[in-house]
Amino acid sequence: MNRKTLIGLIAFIICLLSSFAIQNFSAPLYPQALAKVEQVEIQGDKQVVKARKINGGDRGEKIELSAKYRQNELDATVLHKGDQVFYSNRQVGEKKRDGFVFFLLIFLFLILVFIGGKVGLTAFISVILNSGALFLIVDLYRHHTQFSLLLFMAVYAVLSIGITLFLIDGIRKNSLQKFLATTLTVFTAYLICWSVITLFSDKGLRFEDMGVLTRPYRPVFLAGLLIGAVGASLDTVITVISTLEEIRSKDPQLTIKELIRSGRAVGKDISATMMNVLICSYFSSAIPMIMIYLHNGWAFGQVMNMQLSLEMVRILCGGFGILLSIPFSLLFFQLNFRKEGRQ
Amino acid sequence: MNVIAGLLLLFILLSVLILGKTSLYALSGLFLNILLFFVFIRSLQGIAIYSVTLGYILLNALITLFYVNGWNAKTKAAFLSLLLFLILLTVVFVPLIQKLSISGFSSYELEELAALDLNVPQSFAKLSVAVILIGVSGALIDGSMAIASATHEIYRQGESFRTLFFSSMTVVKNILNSTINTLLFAFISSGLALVFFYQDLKIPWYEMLNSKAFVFEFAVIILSSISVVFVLPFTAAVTCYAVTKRKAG
Repeated sequence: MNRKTLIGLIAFIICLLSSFAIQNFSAPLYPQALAKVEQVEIQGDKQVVKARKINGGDRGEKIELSAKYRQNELDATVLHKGDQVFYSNRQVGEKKRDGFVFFLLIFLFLILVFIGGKVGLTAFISVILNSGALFLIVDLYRHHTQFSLLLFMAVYAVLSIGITLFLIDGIRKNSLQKFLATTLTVFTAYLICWSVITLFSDKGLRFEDMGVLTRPYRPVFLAGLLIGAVGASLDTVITVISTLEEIRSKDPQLTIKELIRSGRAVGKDISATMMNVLICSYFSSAIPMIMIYLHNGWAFGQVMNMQLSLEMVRILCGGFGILLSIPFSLLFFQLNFRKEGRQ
Repeated sequence: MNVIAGLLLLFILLSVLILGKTSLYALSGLFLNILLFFVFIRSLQGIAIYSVTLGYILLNALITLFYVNGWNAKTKAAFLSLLLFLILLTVVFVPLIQKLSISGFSSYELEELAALDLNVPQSFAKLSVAVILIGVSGALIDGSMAIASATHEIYRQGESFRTLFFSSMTVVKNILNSTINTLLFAFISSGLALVFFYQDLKIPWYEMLNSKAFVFEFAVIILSSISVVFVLPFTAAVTCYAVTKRKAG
């Protein structure tokens, strides 16, 4: 076993142990009451839970709690011995999941660093920064609602494109061409969608399927649309330009014509699979809700129309981003190539 | 005509303009995939959720790889990587997801469903595993295809496995970051409402960290990223091996 594998293995074991410790011993840190399940009995649509308090002044005392029960687990979590749960007024609330959440995060970190090295580390940092920036911008918007949400999300889009790209290879000319290509693509894709949505005055869109919302539907949906386009465009631009750079560094004699041909080939190869990513992730999230409506005797077409209309717009907006990325990447690559040729 | 028809028309137009002849396969492949999703939903009304989901993932990969991109070394390498990881995924992820108990809806999501009968025969624990697996499989197919395709373009006549693999890994590292962020942005796009929900109701972070809705979104992003990180170098190796061996032999 070489040194790298050994260090990886030790790090994995440490990460496993600390997650285990968090899951089992972090209860006293919570201000809400927590209990550990010792016995569960199902009575009709209820679970009668015998549990032991694991935080607060009367820690260790026994308590009887009750929780909802439904066999398909649609709105109830089936509890097992050893589970830790939050409770109030003798009613079980959420399950305690912090150790698992920690494990997932730290495991991603480990394998990113193990496989990607320095690049893996920056990938992890950019994910953290991008998520952190989102919460920050949403918070900022909530205190300055006189400006439109879209303005804030446009700033977020440019910011996160910058974070992601500049973390990958620092501020160089290469990343500048990627940055310009992505930004142009995202806003063009969004503009196309926005114009069509406005032109048909929202006809056919079922905003009510957005679920929990403490805000007006439309701006939140449009803002989400913009961010979705960032992901799809960024990925395509980076794949196309990185491949071209790699080809060029191996064979500097190649003409721009040959390079553009290769770039088109890669773009064509990946555009369909990229679209498929969007279909898989957006459509699949609607499955549970679809099942409920179908069970209640709604017509198939009607349910699809209701549950998938917004998802379809998200997919198409991402699709515009993917398609437009190809000519825009090639355009900026070509401009850069010409400029370097003159020097 | 409505918004979706309008967007769809524009999308078809733009595909033909940018992709040229390949757009025929790309577009028909996409419509086949959407059709497949409807068939999948129909079959889900039976009870065998895991088998139906696995079938859907395989058919989806077959259409996306072989129908759209043709039967060649690139797509074969990508498909092979997918198969291997599907096995790994099912073995490792399914128990983990079940342990998280993130199935179904939280109480605030249920308000809009109050008038409906909720005794649906399917298990929602299994359905949420299916949702996560499908999301991950899309990212896997894409990651493998991107690497296989790039490796092919980089290859020059007579190159050895070692140097090709080295170049291919450079692209892997470049793509790694953007692929993971793509997944993040896709979920932010649909989860933006959730972020507002947590902030508007002033739910503290430690409470959010344990809540079902948050942990579900979180698990999808992290599990997809983990699988992509594993699959990229693997596909690079498979493609390099296939390309150098075929051209040499």
